[in-house]
Amino acid sequence: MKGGLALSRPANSTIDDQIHTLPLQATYYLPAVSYSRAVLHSQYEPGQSVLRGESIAQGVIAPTSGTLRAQVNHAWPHPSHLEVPTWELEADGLDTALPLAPLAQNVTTQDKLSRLTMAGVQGLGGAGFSTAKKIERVLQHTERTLIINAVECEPGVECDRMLMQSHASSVIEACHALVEWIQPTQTLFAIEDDKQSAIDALTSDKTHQQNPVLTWVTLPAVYPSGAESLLVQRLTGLHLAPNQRAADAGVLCVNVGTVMAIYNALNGNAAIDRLISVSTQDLMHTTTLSVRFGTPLNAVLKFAASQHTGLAEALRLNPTAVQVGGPLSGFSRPIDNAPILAGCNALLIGPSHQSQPPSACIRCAECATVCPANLLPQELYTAARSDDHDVLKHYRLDACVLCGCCDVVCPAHIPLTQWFRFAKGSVAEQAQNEADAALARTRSEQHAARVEQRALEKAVADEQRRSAAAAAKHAKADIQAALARVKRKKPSA
Amino acid sequence: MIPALQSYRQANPAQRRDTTRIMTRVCWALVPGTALMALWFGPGVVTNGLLLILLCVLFEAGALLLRQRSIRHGLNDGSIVLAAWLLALCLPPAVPMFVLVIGAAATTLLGKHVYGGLGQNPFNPAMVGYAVLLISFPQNTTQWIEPQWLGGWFNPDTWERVWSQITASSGVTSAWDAVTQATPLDQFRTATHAASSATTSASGMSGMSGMSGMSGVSGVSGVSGVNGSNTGIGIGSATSIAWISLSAAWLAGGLYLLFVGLIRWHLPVAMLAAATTTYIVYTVWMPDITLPLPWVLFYGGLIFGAFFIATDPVTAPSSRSARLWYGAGIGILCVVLRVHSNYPEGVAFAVLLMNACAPLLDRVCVRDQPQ
Repeated sequence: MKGGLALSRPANSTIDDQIHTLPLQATYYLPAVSYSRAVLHSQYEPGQSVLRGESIAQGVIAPTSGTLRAQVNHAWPHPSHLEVPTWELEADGLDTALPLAPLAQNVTTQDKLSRLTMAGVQGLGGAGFSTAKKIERVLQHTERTLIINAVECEPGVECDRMLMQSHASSVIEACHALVEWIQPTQTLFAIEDDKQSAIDALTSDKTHQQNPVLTWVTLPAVYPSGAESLLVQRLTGLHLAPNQRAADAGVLCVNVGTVMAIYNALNGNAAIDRLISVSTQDLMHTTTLSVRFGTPLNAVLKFAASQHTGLAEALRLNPTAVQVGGPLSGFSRPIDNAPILAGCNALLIGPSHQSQPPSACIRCAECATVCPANLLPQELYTAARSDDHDVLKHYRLDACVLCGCCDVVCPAHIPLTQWFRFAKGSVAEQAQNEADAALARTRSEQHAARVEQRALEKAVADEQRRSAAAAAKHAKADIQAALARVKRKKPSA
Repeated sequence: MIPALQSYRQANPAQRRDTTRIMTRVCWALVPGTALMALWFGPGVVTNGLLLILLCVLFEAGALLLRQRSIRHGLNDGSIVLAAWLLALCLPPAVPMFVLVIGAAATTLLGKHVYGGLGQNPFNPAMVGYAVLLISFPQNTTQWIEPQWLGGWFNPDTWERVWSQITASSGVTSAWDAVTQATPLDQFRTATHAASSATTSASGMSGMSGMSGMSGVSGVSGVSGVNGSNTGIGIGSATSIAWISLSAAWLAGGLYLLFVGLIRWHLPVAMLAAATTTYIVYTVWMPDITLPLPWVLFYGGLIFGAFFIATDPVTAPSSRSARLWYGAGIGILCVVLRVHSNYPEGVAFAVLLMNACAPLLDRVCVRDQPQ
């Protein structure tokens, strides 16, 4: 990988090497929209009671048993700071699970995929892509590659390392189960060289030693080497076309946490929680929590503070805002009851960085030097400002992974990544509008064609009726003529 | 800055970047050359610089006020100080005040603010200002005095000249003609032109040679048709030592910029290599009009231009391959202009011409990546 930033934790920082599980909350918030803000439809009515693991809508799983309340507009953990329609789930405290039997060994692929969908398994690396869809695409290829992504690469995001360290045998088992299912020609386990404790835990596992199907790939700890498109390109040499996903090329790249979620789903446990690293902004203290989806942000932070004095002190000094996500990829938001969702891997407590007022771009091209996708951010920036989609395409906005490296080195303090996020939204919106327009045009043309066809059919039918009537008239006249001839003959006879 | 990146920044001091810091560092890199120039050419070098910086800052503040931008924020980046300084280094000592005012106006307004200020200008502002002065006031902008180590500082005449710089309302008086002198490139040029064509006269219109690029000669200095060695510009003379030591100082400043990572090697190396190659071609083609090779680089403004003028990030292309082409273009044009144009030095016009090509180069040289 070219570019990127070699980031590291502060020298004397501490990581709490225990996973703390959040106690059951009174209320959970479940957004009724997908990450791309598409509205999710559901057959559930307000007042209906649900069980833990019950699928309320596509990708929305009840994190505990309780009663659904009516949808309200509620805070949403997204850089846009929008409010979206959200279900409130009032927990009944019993935490009764929906009985889901472990799938038998011999079930079909389709059964397994529908189980993943039903259990709400989605990518835990950040994007929240539906795992079932991803696997379905990969299974269409005969030559498959499996990449297990344990490259967290961002300091302050420690949840994958904690998972591998504390549940090494389960992780190995889950990887083996996935390999068994996908039957890849090659399985790469990508991990960074600063996670030696995790590597040791995994490689000393007995199951792994007996059946070493995983090929270890140790990468230097450079941010953002864990970004999927960059990792796939680096490990397989595959260059993806714009808008092509790795899955379309037969490469299944899944986060190690997602591998566990797949394994759990196949064994009857719905995906209702994830691990989250909670740190202070200076990364001096880090702890890891197991949090159910839909848990309000303020409850998570309160619990984290109760477990760790360093975090409590930081929260006491900065009680209003928190950074959701890692130091580079994250965004700042007020501490409220916005829910934790699958894409949230870290929280940082502390003063959010004072963004200096941006000045003009002097085109020093430092951003191009650190860009891991080998782009020219300074050109993309001017194109994004003028919202020029052709130029954005020319400079390959689609290849930007929004890692934020360019923001760090920009001497003019320009929030480049924000501009690229905006430009991506603008391009997507235009594409959507064009697709809508094309659909409307097709519909209108089809409608016109149908009207014409109907008119034609009507004309043909009319013509037939008319000729039939004329024929009948003719026949009647013939009969009358024959009768007249008969009458005329009779008197003479 | 993001606190979590502190450890990264401590490990990578080059990343502690800031526009103001960049401009300040480039100014530091100019200090040795400027000091040396002041020692050779007297206090007029310093007054040029100070007056131009003052004027440019005033024009910049006025432009920001009219454009309703924050004056403090706009001046804070230091870019206008650098541009004024670069322009001052191109001018002979103690240029009359009205010339400086017009130069400052052209640099700040025509070079920078008509396009929208910092980062938006397609042409190097200092070179825009210099080109305007060169074409409008060839006498004032090309009249270099004879370099004299420390001489100017103890000569009452030079101080009087500095005083008249501020008070005089018109150009140079004839009293100063005796001490003015062409730069080495000028003299070689005039000499070779006289040798190759008997009709050539020392026109009053030669510009662009000299040190920082670009100075010239006035027609009254009486060097027409005289062999270079007779006029004291041969190797070892005070004049040649002055110009060569200046180029060495610019080289040192440029190497400092390379060392701290503010510029990259591609552009200056491409420019100097292309200039050298073109010069060799000319040596083969027309052997009678060229300087010996090492002096091609050290006389004139090639080194100053390669490290301080062409590397202006705003007006140069930003991808590496584009920078190679851009530097090579300046190098070639510079020598072609030296040989064929009416000006003995071509750095300023070469830079301006390639500035115009930079956006095109950037667009053509999008980093190739197999799709």
